Amino acid sequence: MAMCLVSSCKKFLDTKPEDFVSGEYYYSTEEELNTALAGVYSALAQDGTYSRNLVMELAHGSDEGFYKRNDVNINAMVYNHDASYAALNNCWRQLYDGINRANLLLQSIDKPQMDKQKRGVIKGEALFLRSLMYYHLVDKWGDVPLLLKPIADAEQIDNPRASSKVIFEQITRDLTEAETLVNKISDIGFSGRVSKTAVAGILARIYLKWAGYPLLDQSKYGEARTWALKVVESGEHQLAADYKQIFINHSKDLYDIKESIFEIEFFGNNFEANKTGSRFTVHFAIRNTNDLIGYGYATVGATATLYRKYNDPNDVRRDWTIAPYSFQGNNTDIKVNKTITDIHTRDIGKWRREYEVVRPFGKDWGPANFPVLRYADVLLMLAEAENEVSGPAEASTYLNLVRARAGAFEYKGVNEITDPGVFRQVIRDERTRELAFEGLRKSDLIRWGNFVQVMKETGSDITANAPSTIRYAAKGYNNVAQRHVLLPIPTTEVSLNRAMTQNPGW
Amino acid sequence: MGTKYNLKPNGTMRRFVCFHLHSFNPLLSNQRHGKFSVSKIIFQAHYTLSPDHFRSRHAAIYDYAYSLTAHGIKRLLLVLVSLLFATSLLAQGPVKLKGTVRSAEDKKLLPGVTISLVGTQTKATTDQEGRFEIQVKKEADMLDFSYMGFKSKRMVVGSQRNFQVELSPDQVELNDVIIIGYGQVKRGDLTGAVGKVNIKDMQKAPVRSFEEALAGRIAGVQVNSEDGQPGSGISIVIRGQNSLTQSNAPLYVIDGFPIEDPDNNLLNPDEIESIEILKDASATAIYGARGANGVIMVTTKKGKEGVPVINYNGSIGTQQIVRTMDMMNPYEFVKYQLERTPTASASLYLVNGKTLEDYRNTEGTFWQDALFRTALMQNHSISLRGGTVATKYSISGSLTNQDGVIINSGYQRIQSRFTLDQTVNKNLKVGLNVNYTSAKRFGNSPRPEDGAQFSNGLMYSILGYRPVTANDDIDLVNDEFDEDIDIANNGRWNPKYTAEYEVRDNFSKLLIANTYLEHDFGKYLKLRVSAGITNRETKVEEFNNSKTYYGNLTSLVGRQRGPNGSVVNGNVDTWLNENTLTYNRTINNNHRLNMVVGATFQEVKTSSDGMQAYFVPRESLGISGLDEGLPNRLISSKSSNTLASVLGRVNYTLFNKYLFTVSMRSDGSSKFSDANRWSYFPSGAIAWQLGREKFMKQISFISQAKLRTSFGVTGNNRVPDFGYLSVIDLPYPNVYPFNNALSNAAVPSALGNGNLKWETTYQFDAGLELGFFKDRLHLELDYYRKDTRDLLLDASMPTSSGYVSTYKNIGRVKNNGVELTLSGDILNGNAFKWNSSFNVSFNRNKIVELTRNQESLLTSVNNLGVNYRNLPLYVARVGSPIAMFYGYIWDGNYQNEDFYRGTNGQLVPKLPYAGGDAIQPGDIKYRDVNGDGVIDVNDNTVIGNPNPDFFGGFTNNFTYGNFDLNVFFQFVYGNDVLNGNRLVFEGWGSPQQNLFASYVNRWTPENPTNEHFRTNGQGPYAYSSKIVEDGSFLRLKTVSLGYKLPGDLLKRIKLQGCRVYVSGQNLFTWTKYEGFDPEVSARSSALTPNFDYAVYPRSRTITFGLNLTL
Repeated sequence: MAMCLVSSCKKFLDTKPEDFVSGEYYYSTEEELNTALAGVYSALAQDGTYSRNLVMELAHGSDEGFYKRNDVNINAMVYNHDASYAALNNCWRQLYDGINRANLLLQSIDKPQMDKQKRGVIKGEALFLRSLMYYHLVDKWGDVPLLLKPIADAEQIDNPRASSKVIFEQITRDLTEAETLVNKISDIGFSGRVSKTAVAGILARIYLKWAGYPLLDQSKYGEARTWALKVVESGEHQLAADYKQIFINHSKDLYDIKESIFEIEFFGNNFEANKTGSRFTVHFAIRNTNDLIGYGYATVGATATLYRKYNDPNDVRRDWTIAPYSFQGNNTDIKVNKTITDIHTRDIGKWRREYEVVRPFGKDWGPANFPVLRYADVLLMLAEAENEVSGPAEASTYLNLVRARAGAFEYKGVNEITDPGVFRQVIRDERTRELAFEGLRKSDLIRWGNFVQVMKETGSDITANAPSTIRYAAKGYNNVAQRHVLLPIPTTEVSLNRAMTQNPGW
Repeated sequence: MGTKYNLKPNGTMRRFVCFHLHSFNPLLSNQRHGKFSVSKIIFQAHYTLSPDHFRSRHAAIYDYAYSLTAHGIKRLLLVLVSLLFATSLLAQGPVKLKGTVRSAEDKKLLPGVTISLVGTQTKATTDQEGRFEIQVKKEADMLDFSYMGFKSKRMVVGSQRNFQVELSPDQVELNDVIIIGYGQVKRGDLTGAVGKVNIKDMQKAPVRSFEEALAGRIAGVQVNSEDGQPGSGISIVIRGQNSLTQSNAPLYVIDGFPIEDPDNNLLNPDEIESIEILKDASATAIYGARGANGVIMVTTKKGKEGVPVINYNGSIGTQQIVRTMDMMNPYEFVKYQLERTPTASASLYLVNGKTLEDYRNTEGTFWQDALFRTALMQNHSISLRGGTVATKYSISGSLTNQDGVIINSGYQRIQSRFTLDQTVNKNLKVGLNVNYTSAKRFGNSPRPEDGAQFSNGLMYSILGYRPVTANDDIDLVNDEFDEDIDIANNGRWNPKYTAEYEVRDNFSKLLIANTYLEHDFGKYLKLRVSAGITNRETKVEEFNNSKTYYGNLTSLVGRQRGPNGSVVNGNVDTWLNENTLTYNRTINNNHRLNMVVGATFQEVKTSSDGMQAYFVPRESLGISGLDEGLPNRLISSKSSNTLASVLGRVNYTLFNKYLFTVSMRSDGSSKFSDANRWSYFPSGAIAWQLGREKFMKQISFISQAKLRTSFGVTGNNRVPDFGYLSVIDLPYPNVYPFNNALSNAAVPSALGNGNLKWETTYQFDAGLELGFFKDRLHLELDYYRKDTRDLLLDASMPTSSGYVSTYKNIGRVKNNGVELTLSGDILNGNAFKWNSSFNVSFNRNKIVELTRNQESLLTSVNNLGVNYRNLPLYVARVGSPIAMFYGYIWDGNYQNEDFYRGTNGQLVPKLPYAGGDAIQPGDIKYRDVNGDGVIDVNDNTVIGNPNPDFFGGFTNNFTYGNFDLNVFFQFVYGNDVLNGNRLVFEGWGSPQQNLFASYVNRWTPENPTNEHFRTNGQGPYAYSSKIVEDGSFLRLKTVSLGYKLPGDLLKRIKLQGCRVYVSGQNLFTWTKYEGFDPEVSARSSALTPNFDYAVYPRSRTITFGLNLTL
C-alpha cells in the first residue's frame, strides 16, 4: 500500500514540459540538426554581431569612419568605453551564444540516423561558424575561454582563458576539416551558407592575423597564401563587373556568388512577426528622417582620410563608398551634392536604401546582407601574403585585378612597385579603398601594428582641417591609447567567471 | 440599604448600587479614606453581578476603585457580604445543591470548574459533563465559580437548588477565533504571529477589492498599488522582501484553497468573513514551500443557524482625480518653445503677425480637463443566509461597476456565491462553496508600453499635448494628431482619440468550487477531506483602429500595422485535494492537545493561446474582423506543475498557561528535479500566558500578558514550472533567412539546473502581547529576523557559458524588523464610544550575498525611451537594501562663478562637467563624486532609498447613539520615489511638447536659480537626485459615517436593520511629493520599486450607501 502510494506520488510529480523540448530530447533527427544549425547562424545576425555592434561600434572609430554624433554617450567609436559598455558585452555574449549552440549541435551530431554526407555538411558548417566566432573573439579580446563542449551544468562557469595561439591552432584545424565537409558555393547557389571557398578564405584571414600583431608568426603568411590561392584556383569566383552592384545586391536581396563568398543574411523590415532585418542598414545609411527613400541615421561618418586615400579620380569606389550627396533638410528624397571640398561631412554611401525592395522602409531595421567575405578581399589577402612571402611581382597581379574593376590605375608599367615595403603600404591602402565599412579596417590596423599611430594621425587631421561642426570628432581619436588594441573583457564576465582576468590597461 | 436578600441578577441590584454610588459621590471627592472604602465595597459587589453596566455608567470611579489593591477589597467584601445577607437565613441545615456550568459564549459544558463555598474550605469540581454537586449550609452562603480563562462568578445560594451557571470568557479578545492553516485556534492559544484584519472596519472602505483596503491595517504588511487604474496591480509584501528576482507575493489561502497568484479583484469584499495574515514561521511553516512570503487566509461568509436573513448592501458614489498637474499656459509654452528651438518655433508661433505677447491672452487647451472626469462607482451586494442546526446555507451575489477617472476606462464585475453546510448525522458533515465571477477591465493603461518611447502612451499626451497652435489648418482638439509634429518620430497622439478608440479589454472569469466532508471518529478524532477546483480564464482583447496611433497609417507604428488587433486567452486550472485528521482532547483542564496530520495534492495547469492581425480591412468589425486581416503573431503555450505534501502539527497547552506548537510540512514539487523534489519545513513555538500567573495578578493594571517566540523554516518555490530543465526553443523572431526564405532556428534558451531547490527562509520571531486596564488597552509587539538563503535567483552567468542567466540557489537576504500594534477602547460611555487602533512597522532589508563574486546588481527601467533604456536606475549592493536608486548627485546649476574667461574670451568651467563641449551657466550640475575631474559613469552613486523607514495605519471608530463614524489613516515614512515625469516634463521631452508650469522658474541670466536648469541645459541623459523625491505620506484613507435607524422605526417598517452611510476613500493625502500620488510603482518588482512615470492617477471616492437587513 505504502509502496503503491510512493510510486503513484512519484508519477504524480513527474510532470513533463508540453511547450518546449528539453535539451536531452533534442538533436535527434536530421531536421532538428538543421534547425539547430540555423540557430548557430542566427547568432551571427544579432545586434551584438553582424547586425550592428561587431561591424559598427566595435569596428569603427577608425581612419575610415567616425562616430558622427556630438554627444557624451559611451561609445567604443569614441574610445570612452569601459568594461561595462553594453555593445561589447552584447557582442561577447552573442558570439559565445553561437559557440554554445554550435557545441550543443556538434555534441549530438552523431545522434540521428541520417545520410553520412549530409551529416558532414552540417558538421562542417557548424565547425566553420564556431571558428569564425572564435576568430572574432581572439581578434577583439585576445586570449579567451576556449569551450569546445557545452557546459555540463550551471557550476561549470570558471573557464580560464586559452592563449590566442592555442585557439588559432584549434580553429585552423577545425576549418581544415570543415573545408572537406561542406559544399561548393556553386552547388549551394547563394552566399548565405558556408561553402568550401568561404572556409578557405576565412582560413587565409585567420593566418594573416596569426602572422600579424600580437603573435607575429611570420610563417603563417605562407599558410594564408596557400588558402587564399585555393579560393582563387577553385574556379568558383571572379570579380563582379560593377563594384556598385555588389552592394546594391545586398540591399536588393540578390546574390552574386562569384563575388560574394559569404554573407550574413538579413531580410525584411521587421514589421512582420519574424524579425530578421539588420540594423547596420539604417545606421550606415545616408542621414534621412523620411521614409520616401529610407531612414538613415548616418551614425558613422566617412573621414576625409578615407576620401583622400582614393588616389585615382576615376576610382568608382570613392563616390560609392562615400556618399557624394546628402538629402535636402535630411528629410526629403532630394539629393544635394556635396561640394568638392566638403570631404569631412560625408556619410557612408555603400548601402543605399533606395535600392531596397522591401516596403515600407523599416526605421530601425533593413534587409541588407552583410558581406563577411568577398572575392576582392581574398585577392587582396593573397596579394598581401604573396608580398610578404615573395615580394610584389606576383602580388601586384592580384591587386591590379581589384583596381582594374574599380576603374583605377594599375600598379604596373610606370606605376610598378618593386619594393615589398612600399608595396605593403599600397596593399594596406587598397584594402581600405576596396573594403571600407565592411568591418575589417580596425582589425587590419591592429594586426599591422600601426593602429594607435593611424588613429592619432586621423585625429590630428580632423582637428587641423575639419570644419568646426565636425571637429568634435577628434575627441574620440585623441582618446585612443595602446590599451585599445584589445577590448576590455566585459564586466559581467570578469565578475562572474573566477578564472577570468582583465586585459592590460583596463 | 434595602433588605433585598433574594437577589436577582442585575436589575434590582443595579438600582441598589447605583443609588449608593450616587450618594457616595461627594465623599469620593472628599478623599476621606474610611468612607471611600465603603464606596469601593459597593462597587465590588456590583461588579460581581454586572460589571459592564457599571463600567459604562461610572467608568471613572470604576477605574479608580479597581486600581486599589485587590487584597483589601476582598476582606472588605466579605464584611459587606455578611452585612448584606445577615438577615436572610431561610433554610436551616446543610443542603445539597447541584447544577451544570457552561461557557456563556458557545454554551459548551465546562469540565473542571472549581466551585467553592466562600469563607469555607468546601469545594467541588465539575465533571466531564460539566456537572457538580456541593453542600451548603444556608441560603445566604455564596458560591464562587472559577475556571481558568473565564471570569469567576459568585452567586448567592438563595432558594435555588439546581444551578445553571454560565461563565463568561475571561477576556473576550482571547477567545477570538483565529483561522490558521488547517485549523483554527483561540487568540489566547495562539503561539505564532498572526494579524487578524478588522473586517468590519475594512468593509467600510468603498473599494472594489479587499487588497485596496488592506494597506495600513496590519503591522508588517506593506501594500503598494502600482497606480490608480481600476483593477491595476497591487503588491503585498509581508515582513520585507526575501527574493530578488522571484515573486515576493504571499500565498493566498481562500477558503482553505492555497493559490499563489489569485486575481483578488474577482472576490467580493462584502462576502469576506475574515482575513488573517500569517506572518511568522510558526504560523506559515504549515504551508511549507510556499510559506516564506507569508500567508493571507481569506474566509468567506457561510450560512448561520437561524431564520433566513436577507442583507442588502448597496452604495453609489463618485470618484474624482485627487490632483491635476499644473502645465504651462500658452504664453509660457510659446516662450519656452521660442527659447528651445528659436527658428523652428518662430515659424510655428510667430506667424500671421502674432507676437509672443499675444499668447498672454490666448486660451489654450487644458488636456487634463478633457480626459479626466468625475466617474461613477456603484456596488450592490445581496445575500440570503440562514439555516437550521443541520443545514446552513447562503446565497449571495454582487454587482460592481466602477468607471475610471480617465474617460473610457473602468471595471465591471458580477459575481455570485452559494454555500451549503449539511450535517448528515451525528458524525458526518458535508459542505459546498461555489463562486462564479465574471469581470471586465477596460481602458488604456496610460503608461507607455514596455520598451516604447517615453512619448508613447496616453498620459504623455494628456500632459504633453501642446495647448495652443498658430496654424489655422490645425484643430488641436479634433484632429487625430498634430501635423506640426514629426509623427514619424514621436508617439504623441490626440489623447481623446487614444482613450476613445484604443480598445483594451480584459475579461476574467473565475469559478471556484470547493467541497468538504467531515467525519468524527469518537469524541476526539475528526477526519476532514476536501476537494476543490479553481478555474480562471482571462481574455485580453486589443484593437487599434485608424483613429489611433497604433492603427493610423500616418504614425510610425500605425504605418507598419494599419488597423490591427489581437486576442489572447489564458487559462489557469487548479485542483486540490486535502485530507486531514485532527485529534482534539482536553485532559482534566490542565492538558489540552490538538494534533493535525494531513496529506494534500495540488495541480496547476496553465495554458494560453492568441493571435494578432494587421491591416484589418473592415475595422468597424473590431476584434471579430481580425480574421480578414493579415495574420501576424500566433501564441500558444501550455504548462503544469504538481505538489504533493504531508503535514503535521501539535498544539499542546499546559495549565492553560504554557503553549507549545510544533509543525512540519514536507512538500514534493514537480518544479524540481527528482533529486531535490522533497523538502522539509519544520517550525516550533512556545508561548507563555504570563498574565495567568499568580504573580502577575498583583499588577492590577495589566489584565493580560503573553510572551511568545517561534522559529521555523519556510520555502519559496516561485520558479518556472520547468526551471530545472534545459530548454531548446524555436522562438518566433529567431529564424534565419537562408536565401531570403525563413528557416526555423532552434536555440538553447535556458540551461537546466538539476540542483535547483527551494529558497529557504529561517525566521525567528519574539512577541509580547499585553492587555491593560481590563483589556481596554491592548499592545502587541513583535520582533523578527528573517534570513533567506539559497535564494532562488535568476542568477547572472558569465556569458562565455552561452547563457545570460540561469535559476540557481545563490545569494542571501536578511530582513529584520519590529511591529507594534496598539489598540484600545478610549471612551466607552453609554452614548459615546471611541475605540482606536494604531500600528507601525519597521523593516530593514539587507543583501548578504549575491551570485558568486558579484558585488552589486544594476537594473534599468524600460519606460523612458531608448536613451534611458540601458541606464541603470537601481543598484542592489551587498550590504545594502535590495534596491537603491542609482545615479548622479544633483548640485543645482552651473552659475556664472563656476566659470572663468579663457584666453579667447570663451567661458571655461572651473568645475568638472559631464561631457558636452559648450557647457554654459545654467546647465545642470552634477557632483564629481570620485573627484577625478570628470563626471562620468564612475560618479554614479546611491541617490535614494525606496524603502520606507516605517509605515502603518491608525483606525478610529466613534459611535454616538445610532451614529457611527470610522476614520482611518495610512502612513508611510522615509521612502523615496523617482519622479520620472519631471525628467520629461521639466525641461527635456520632445519639441513642441508642453511642460510642467514649475519649469517657468528655470535658470536665465536674470534669474540664476538653482531650481531648474536653463532651456536646453539638461546635460547628458542621466538619472539624478533632482528627480528623487520624498515619498512619505499620511493619508486620510477612509472615512465612513453611518446612521442606524432606531429599533421602533425599524419595527414599523418591518426591517431588522437599516444603516445608511456615506463613505470616502483617499480623502486627503499630506505629502511633499510633487507627482499625482506618492504611492506608485510603475514597474512593480523587488528590484525596481517606486518608479513613477505616466501612471494612472489615483482618485478620491465618495459614496452613499444603504445596508438593509430583512
